[in-house]
Amino acid sequence: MSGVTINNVKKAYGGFEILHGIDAEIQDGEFVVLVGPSGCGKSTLLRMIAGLEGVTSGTIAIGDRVVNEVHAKDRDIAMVFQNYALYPHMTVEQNMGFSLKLAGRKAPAIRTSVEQVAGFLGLSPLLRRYPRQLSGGQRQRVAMGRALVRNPKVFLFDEPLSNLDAKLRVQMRSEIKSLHRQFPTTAVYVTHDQVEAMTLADRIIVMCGGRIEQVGTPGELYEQPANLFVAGFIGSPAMNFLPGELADDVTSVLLGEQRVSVKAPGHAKPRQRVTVGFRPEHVRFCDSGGIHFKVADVEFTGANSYVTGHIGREQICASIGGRAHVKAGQSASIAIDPASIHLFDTTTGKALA
Amino acid sequence: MFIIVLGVTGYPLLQTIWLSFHSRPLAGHDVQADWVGLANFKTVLENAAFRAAVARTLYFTIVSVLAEAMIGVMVALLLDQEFRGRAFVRALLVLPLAMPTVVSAMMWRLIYNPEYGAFNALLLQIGLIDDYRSWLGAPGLAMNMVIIAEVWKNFSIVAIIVLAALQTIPRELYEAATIDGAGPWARFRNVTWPGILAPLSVALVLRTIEAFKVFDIFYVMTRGGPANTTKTATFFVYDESFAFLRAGSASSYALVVVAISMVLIAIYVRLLRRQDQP
Repeated sequence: MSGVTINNVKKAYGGFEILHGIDAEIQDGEFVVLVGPSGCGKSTLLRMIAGLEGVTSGTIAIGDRVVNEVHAKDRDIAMVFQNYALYPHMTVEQNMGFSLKLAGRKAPAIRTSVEQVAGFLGLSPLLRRYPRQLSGGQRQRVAMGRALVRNPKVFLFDEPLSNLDAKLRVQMRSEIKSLHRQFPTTAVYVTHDQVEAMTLADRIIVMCGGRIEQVGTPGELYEQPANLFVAGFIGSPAMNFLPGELADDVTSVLLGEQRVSVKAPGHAKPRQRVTVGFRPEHVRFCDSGGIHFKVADVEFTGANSYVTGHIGREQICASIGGRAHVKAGQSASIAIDPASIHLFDTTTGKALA
Repeated sequence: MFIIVLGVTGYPLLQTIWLSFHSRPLAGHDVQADWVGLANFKTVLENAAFRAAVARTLYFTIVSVLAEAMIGVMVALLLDQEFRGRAFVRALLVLPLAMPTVVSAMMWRLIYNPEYGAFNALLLQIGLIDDYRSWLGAPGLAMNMVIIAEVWKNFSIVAIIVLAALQTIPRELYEAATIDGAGPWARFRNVTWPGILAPLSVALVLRTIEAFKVFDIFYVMTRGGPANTTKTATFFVYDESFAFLRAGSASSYALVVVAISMVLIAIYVRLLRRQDQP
């Protein structure tokens, strides 16, 4: 087992730079998720770790060895692809044993390894089947089995659950999690789904526009987002943002016509323009004395209700446990827990901390 | 729909089968068909020249289709690579296909011309021959020279079909194979080849059927000569019909050619079915 060290890695295609100097340290046995919107460079970074893309500058090391010039097959990594990439003309057994066969292992040894992993993943009854005879979830499991059989130093996952339906995705997510618990190999997992990132990761690397926005545990990213992008990207429904201005004593902020007390850091300036962020689940309805809120729509999802509406001209969302007792078009009064308010510098987008 | 299909293919086929059991001139006054039973087929099967022609046609079919398959696959693999002007070169592939066989056969006859042909000039200039030769006049050579012309005309259909198949192979399969440790040959053997095999087989079935009933290219380039060494099976149908005006026996020849084609198709269909089975 080995960690992965990414040092000032850049990637350019024909002079157009898409990764602008990535630094990351992935510990041995850690499960790290690269998350970000489409086109942020997360898949490119993963493919560079895999050796499927060249590194324009900087270094990537697996364990102590810099692998920039090492061929993909010699990096001792295994990758699970979005479309599974199972060889269609090979049975499950042949798919899983292919890398061992190419490595020159004898047939009985290959069979033993494949049967062991297949038993673990519940694939034993499917070994003689072809990929086209399997369901999406089974194919996904075979793709993971193929990676496991190799016993690699690093597992790479490229959006492996995006082709599955919602229910299966949740199931496979927990299977991957328990798999990692039993085989604590270093894993780098790419997804654009922040819920997947939050549930799977030991640590998350949030990327945007070819740069790392923040690295941290799911809890850190959720509770202490470093900037507006991370605050808006992590959490579902997304964090609400309102423009505000700090009071002279920087202990409160004006939201609409309501003054709300906040904990601003020492370096905050009086009358500084800030962006106030608060999560939908930290909004509660109150009888009176709160912030004036005009309800636009109510979505009942079963466990929660999402109430969208406006404070002045700004749209916000409130997440209420169970049924909400408000209706579209109604005026209401809301309160926000001061301890859960995040303040961001409106100019730089960075958190005031 | 059924009536249209019956009218377009059923009636001529039934008419040919009916004719094959009769003796009937193709044209002329007072055309009369006399029942002769299996006599026409007996004539066909006892004709040693026809049997030799069938063997010759099989040789032509096997060699030309194999060459088309090999060249077609290689060209498709090349055209699947990224390079400048790829779209133009891909468009060029259609050129031999778009050309009528009569025109391409005439072109190759000029290329092989014993007095001013480009083929002679080329071989002489690179020193492979000392003097101009009559490529289509030598009994041992003529068949192979026609095969070259046939392959030039038709390899592109194989290349186009294989190229289309190559473009449907997901890139991730190659990447997965690379990570699994496969080199270029192992990737071809385990990803590319299984991906193109089924479409390639269909292309080869179509080409085999076409090649076995070849007529026009030989008619233009050699007229079956020299010394009947390029006289293929369909020449007998043509000669019986239009030289000897015997519609009955010509039909028997035609049906025997069709029967042999059907055997070839059946073999291919079996191979295809075997591939389809998991």
